[in-house]
Amino acid sequence: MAVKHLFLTLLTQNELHGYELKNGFEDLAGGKWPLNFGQVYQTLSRLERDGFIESYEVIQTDKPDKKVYRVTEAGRKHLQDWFKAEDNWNLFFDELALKIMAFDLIDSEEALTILRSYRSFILLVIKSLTRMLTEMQQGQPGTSTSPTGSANATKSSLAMLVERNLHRAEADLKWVTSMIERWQKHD
Amino acid sequence: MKPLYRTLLVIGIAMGVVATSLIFGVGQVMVMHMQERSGYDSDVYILHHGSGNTIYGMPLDLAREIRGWLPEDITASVISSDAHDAVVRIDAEVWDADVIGVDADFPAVFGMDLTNGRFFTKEEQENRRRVCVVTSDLMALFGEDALELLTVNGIEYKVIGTVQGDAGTARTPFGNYSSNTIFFPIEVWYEDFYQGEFRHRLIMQLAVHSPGYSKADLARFVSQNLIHMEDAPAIKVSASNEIGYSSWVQDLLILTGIFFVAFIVFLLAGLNIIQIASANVYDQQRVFGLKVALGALPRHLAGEITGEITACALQGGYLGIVLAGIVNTVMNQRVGQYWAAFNVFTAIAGMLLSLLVGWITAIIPARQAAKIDPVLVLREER
Amino acid sequence: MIELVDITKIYGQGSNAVKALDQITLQLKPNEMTAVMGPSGSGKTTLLNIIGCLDSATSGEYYLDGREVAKLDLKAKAQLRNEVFGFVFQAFNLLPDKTVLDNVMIPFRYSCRPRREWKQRAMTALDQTGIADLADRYPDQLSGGQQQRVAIARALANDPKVILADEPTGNLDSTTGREIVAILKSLAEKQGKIVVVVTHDGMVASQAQRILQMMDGRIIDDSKIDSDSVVFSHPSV
Repeated sequence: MAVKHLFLTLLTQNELHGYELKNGFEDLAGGKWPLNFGQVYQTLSRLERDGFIESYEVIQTDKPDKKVYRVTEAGRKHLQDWFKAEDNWNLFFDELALKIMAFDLIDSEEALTILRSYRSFILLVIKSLTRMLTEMQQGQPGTSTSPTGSANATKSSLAMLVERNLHRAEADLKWVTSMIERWQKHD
Repeated sequence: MKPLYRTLLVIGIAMGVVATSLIFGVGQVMVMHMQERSGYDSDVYILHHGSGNTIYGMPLDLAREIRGWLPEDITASVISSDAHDAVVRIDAEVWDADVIGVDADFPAVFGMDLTNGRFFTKEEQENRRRVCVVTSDLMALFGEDALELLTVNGIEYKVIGTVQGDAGTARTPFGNYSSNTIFFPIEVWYEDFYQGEFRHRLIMQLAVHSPGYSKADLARFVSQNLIHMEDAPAIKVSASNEIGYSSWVQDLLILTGIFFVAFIVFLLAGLNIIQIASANVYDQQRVFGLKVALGALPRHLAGEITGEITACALQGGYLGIVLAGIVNTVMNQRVGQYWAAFNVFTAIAGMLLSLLVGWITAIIPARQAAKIDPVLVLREER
Repeated sequence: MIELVDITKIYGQGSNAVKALDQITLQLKPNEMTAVMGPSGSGKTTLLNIIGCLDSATSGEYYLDGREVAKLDLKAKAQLRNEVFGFVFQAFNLLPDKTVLDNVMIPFRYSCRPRREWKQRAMTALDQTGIADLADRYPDQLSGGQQQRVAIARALANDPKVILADEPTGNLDSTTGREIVAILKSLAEKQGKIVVVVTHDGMVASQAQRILQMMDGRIIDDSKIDSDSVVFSHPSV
């Protein structure tokens, strides 16, 4: 779903062909979400089928003809609807959430082990996210400049995403630490 | 240390220094008074024209007349005031000496020694000889040769002897003779310097040496004769050590009062230091705790506290000496010649004492600093 | 090398007694940054104070490079605090009326180093935290991060073997906090010091090689962070 809407956003800025769309998306994701061409064209054909984008051929003299896409009015409206759509919060947003549902039924020791292991994991997550953030702020390789937008814009929205993840991870660390403490007290 | 504390400390120590210099000043003055009292011969009396604390002058003939009322076996001498306008030149150089007119019996009345030569005689007085006697200090200062060329208002006088100099030998209502005095025969003094015209307060007193006669006896001699005079002047008989007695007593009481007040201020200054330094230690608990964490020992902290107090003590001492100088000037005007108390020694004593008090009072705050528990004071508020 | 064996610390007496540390056994090695986490009252700061000889244990043994610390007198412990340990606090604790350079030189007052060496050593320490150009400023002219760097430089003045930091990022924003933690980490990794950081900040702990979790005066978890990173996943479409 995300791919579809971001393609539309990219197309509101410029008319692009498939390859540029792929790169644009991967830049916005900071290289952490690679796409293959199959996914790209599947998404594009669906968008075209729904009338949100339209394409035309550009005739080139020394290269094969390329297909260029542009957004339609319907497409713009669809995008606006998506931006304005209600927020939601998934109570069961990852695998651990599902494991927790089983805690009442499993051995207490096993539950503690799961929590401990998650804590080590979260610390590694925080470590990695911190490094990502530091590298971004120092302009290291790992951030890329997008041909369709300014380098700073990419960095700042990506930084925002990383910071959000970092805050969530830190909150999760607090949670899992207090859970472990609670488990210890029961012993 | 907070600037406020520093200021308070400096002011406190300055007050202590002023107080200290007052104490020393009072002490010196009292000692001087004691010495003066003991130095007087109780057989020496001063007769002067005046009432209460006021001295009028008396004409020379009145002085001679009064002398006539007293028995022959009493030694007497007229004593004048200092002739301010007389310009003394010694070896052509102007020299500001006290110029006093006396009788030939002057040294006999006060038991003064001649260290050289002789005093002038009655004959020389009657014959208006232009002779004079200087103090031994002047002789030592100028030497015989220079004193050969002594003139007053352009007239030459011959130095025929020297008396023992320095203060304390003869007491008049206007103080003791300084070591910077030249004595002249009273008639010569009168005629050469004042053209023989009597002026108010010129002849000050008649000093007599009268063993065997008490003050009451002398007063009787005087009053018996005063009855017969029209418009009799008020002649007072005082023991030489009573001169200025009433005002002296008053001043003594004031000085004693000052002594006690100064002493209390002095103690308060010490308490002030302790209190401010302790408040400072309390304020700076965290800082001291930090320093302990960095490896400071109690003696290091004590050294730092003492150092800060010492710096303030020096500033306060300096300020205190300046203030004490002002106080001294005021006291001079009020008490006059009795106040001779502010000099280098009182200043140094004040400084040293303020430093000493600073070091001693640093002991208590230093102990408080040593008791600080770094773990407690470095605790964070969450 | 720091070795604690059955260290217990009790404050107060009788019914008011509080057990701040309960039989802590622990070894700390050079080249490592260790994070100590736990809720308030878990004993983290007490542990730090005892390691740093600022406080003494009620019972148990503490060996510093094989020497028993409990046997040392006040003077020897002060010397250790001056030469072997360097403290860094949450509130920086700089002297506001002294310049940065003077602040860093304070530990020298309590050492035996001759005065002529002081300035140079202090500048070296300021270099290590990257603020040598701020030597003549006063603390109130500096940002929080800069002040903490001064505090770290002060801790480094006598080139100690152990750095003890109590919530060093507590008064800093997250970006500055990361910089400070990076400095502390390099002190362990590049200079081989033993670095112990008490923190409740997950970001700080994530940078350590070892994490101790404390509760009620005990260590309930002691794990190493071996790996450097995780592989992040993303939605399939």
